[in-house]
Amino acid sequence: MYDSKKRRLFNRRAFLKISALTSIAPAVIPSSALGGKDSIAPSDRIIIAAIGTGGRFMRALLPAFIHEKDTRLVAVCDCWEERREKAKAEVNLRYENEDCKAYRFHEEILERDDIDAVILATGDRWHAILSALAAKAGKDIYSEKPFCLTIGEGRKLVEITRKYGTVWQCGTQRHSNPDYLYIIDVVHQEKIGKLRRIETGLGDWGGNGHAKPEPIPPGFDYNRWLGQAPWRPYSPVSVALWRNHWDTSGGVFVDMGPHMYDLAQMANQSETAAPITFSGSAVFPDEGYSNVPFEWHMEAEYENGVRLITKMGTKSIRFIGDEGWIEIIDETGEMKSDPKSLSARSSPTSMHYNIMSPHIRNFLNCMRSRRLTVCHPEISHRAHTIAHVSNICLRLGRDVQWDSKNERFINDEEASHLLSRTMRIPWVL
Amino acid sequence: MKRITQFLVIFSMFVLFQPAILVLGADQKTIENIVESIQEFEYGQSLKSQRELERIINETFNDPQAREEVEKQILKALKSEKTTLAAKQFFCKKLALIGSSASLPVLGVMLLNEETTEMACYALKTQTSQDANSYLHQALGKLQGTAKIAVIHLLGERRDPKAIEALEALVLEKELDIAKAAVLALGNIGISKCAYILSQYRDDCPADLQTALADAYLQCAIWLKKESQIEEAVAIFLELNNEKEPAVIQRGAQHNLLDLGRLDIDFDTIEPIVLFDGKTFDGWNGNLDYFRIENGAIAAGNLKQRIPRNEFLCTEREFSHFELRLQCKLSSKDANAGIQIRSRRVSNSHEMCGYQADMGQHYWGALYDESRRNRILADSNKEELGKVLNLVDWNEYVIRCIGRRVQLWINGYQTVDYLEPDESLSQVGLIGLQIHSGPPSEAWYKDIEIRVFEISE
Repeated sequence: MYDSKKRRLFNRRAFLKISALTSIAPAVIPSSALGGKDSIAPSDRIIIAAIGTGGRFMRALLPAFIHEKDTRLVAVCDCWEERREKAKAEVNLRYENEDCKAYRFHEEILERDDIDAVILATGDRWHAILSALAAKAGKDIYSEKPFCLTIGEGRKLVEITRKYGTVWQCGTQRHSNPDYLYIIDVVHQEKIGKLRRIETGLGDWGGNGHAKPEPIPPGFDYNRWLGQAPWRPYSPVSVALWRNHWDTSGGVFVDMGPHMYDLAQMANQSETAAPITFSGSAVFPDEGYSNVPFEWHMEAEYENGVRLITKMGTKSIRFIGDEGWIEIIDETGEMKSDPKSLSARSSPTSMHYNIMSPHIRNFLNCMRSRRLTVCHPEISHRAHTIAHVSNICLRLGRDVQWDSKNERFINDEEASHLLSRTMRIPWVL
Repeated sequence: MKRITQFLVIFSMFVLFQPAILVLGADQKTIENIVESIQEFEYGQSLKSQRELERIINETFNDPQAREEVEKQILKALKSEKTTLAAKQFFCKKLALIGSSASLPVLGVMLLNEETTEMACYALKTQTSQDANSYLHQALGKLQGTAKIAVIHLLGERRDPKAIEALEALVLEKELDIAKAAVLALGNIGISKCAYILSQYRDDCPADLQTALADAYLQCAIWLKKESQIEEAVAIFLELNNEKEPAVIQRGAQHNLLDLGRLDIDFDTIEPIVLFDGKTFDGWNGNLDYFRIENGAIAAGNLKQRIPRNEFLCTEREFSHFELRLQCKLSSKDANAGIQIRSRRVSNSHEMCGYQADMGQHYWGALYDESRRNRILADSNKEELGKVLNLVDWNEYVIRCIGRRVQLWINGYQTVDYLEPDESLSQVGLIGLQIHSGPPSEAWYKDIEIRVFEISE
């Protein structure tokens, strides 16, 4: 099955070494130093496969990973035949070879001994399960957000990566974006005074319909697509609206929340906790397949009194202190602030939020050094927790109090029933 | 903005009229009618009644009588022959939220029907009563195929020790998926007894099951570690740290031994890095008003005037697993200083945050948590330490950090052996040399060497 001489221990290919560190050089290969297309010895390349090859992969992850010259994308997997074939063709076109293979089943990718890491860009219901399976197969993982469908999945994944010593990065790329880091630094330097309030806009949300069963189209493995979600017959509506249903996702809070709450946690220096009280209101569609909030307002409060407000409207995050505030608009990277001088670095560009390279570089460097990534499971899990607790608060229509230490709701056992759920057989965490 | 205003208006109306809705929501006939209208639901049909029932469930949170009625009506529907599978699935999701032990008999029957086993498991998942496990035990013996696997998964998830024997009986089951599920569940239950059982089968089992057994055995060790049975866990990790095991299992065992600081690392074989060259502050930063170099040593503080606040000279580089050796002395027995490890500078402040190997007064040899928990995490035996400690002369401080374990020695006497219980704390950071605020005093540091354990490719 595996070559016991080649694949072992902490590292990707070699035996565990106690190495004498005699220089102060960082264990990093800066992409700028890597030069041309073929300047990396094949044995030094990180071999990567992608599972889930929809829009996110094709538009952002594929070009970003290929851009890093010490990687090779050699396999793609999707339950849609058309998507995986298109992805394979695109990868091969970029490398000008035929090395990339397309797979219908992720098992075939995880069995391949030459693959070091997987990119997960499937629908949300698959992220944690595939992370667990990949970790069990000895792979490292770059997973898109939301990486967990429930708080229970998130906690389990933290434990699974600790069990196997997996290097895992959440695809919350703003965490490594210099402009966001600049703003976080402004907050940490208390240039806005003491931080009091964080306000984030998550954009708009909608889309609905009646999910009438239809025959499964050819070239689509619906059973695979559905994954852990409770069984229901194929409908183009339920497939298109997977982000709008609790069985397969969790609406806007789990879509944009992990990004924004990750930044809030950083700014508040509460990366391993979460707010303690949640209070909010939402409008849910009272008919149709979609059952997630279409309108929302959420107010949470941290133990240190900092308030975290989640609103509708322009995707953005604003940090308010007692002497000023600073804000970044998500789409463009435009900064606003009071006093104005704080946002001097602003250099707006379209798709600014999608600057991927520093985040992916961090993942690849950590694969080599076996260190925790900047968005490692524990801190990512806590940012996701804010999204999930918000959703639970809104679903139940009542205020909730969250105990970060025990990861339970306080005085509300019923709310804790929504922390995790069983998965459709054979999937399990 | 307009949408928000509308929304706030709707919201405030909702708050105003809530009592009226509550009365309506609690009405027995209303509940019965809604549940009945869902009973024959098929996929793709209107979901209005489902949403209505969900609304009633939310609004009767503080009305146990109404809740009881909702549960009663759902159970009646689940027993009815005319209720569709699609409706049963919806009702089971609601029982996962509100189901009491009154649901158990109905769910127990549903477990036995393969068409409804998984949805019954979904509802049973959140049942806190032990009686739920009895229904799962009964079903285990009667089911086959995926339905059986669903029950096995849930028993593992619920960590039911009473299921161990029944699960053990399935380890050698011919159907491999069932055997694997049983092995996985034993690992998830994860108590000593499971570890013992799994180790027995590991010696002689079908090749197909070897990896699953090793993985479940590793999982038991993870549980034991989490539940403070450290030595038992370490024994398993050591057993699995073997080339004969699947590579990922050995790597996992090593990772956990490292985490517990129990990986055997011979620091004497590692070439040291000299952190201080005796002449310059290269590689260090700090407030040089309070740090100077004299006679090949770093002198912190001064003997002329008060030290107004804590000052730290710290490395530019971060370290995780290492052994740090240095010489240190204090100007008087009242002085206070220390060596920060795995620490960071607090932004907008002169302080550092993280572990400190303490020096001075009654703190010598203790592990203090600076600007974090602000307390002694592990203290030294002062009487024993007093036999070797030089109060106002040079001492050798040795600080060994592996995983979550921190060990301290002064002049060869071990003062502290600490295992950090909080797994979420960062175990990487800067090294910093402190002079504590207070009366005029000096702390001296020299011969600073570090041996770094790197996990490399």
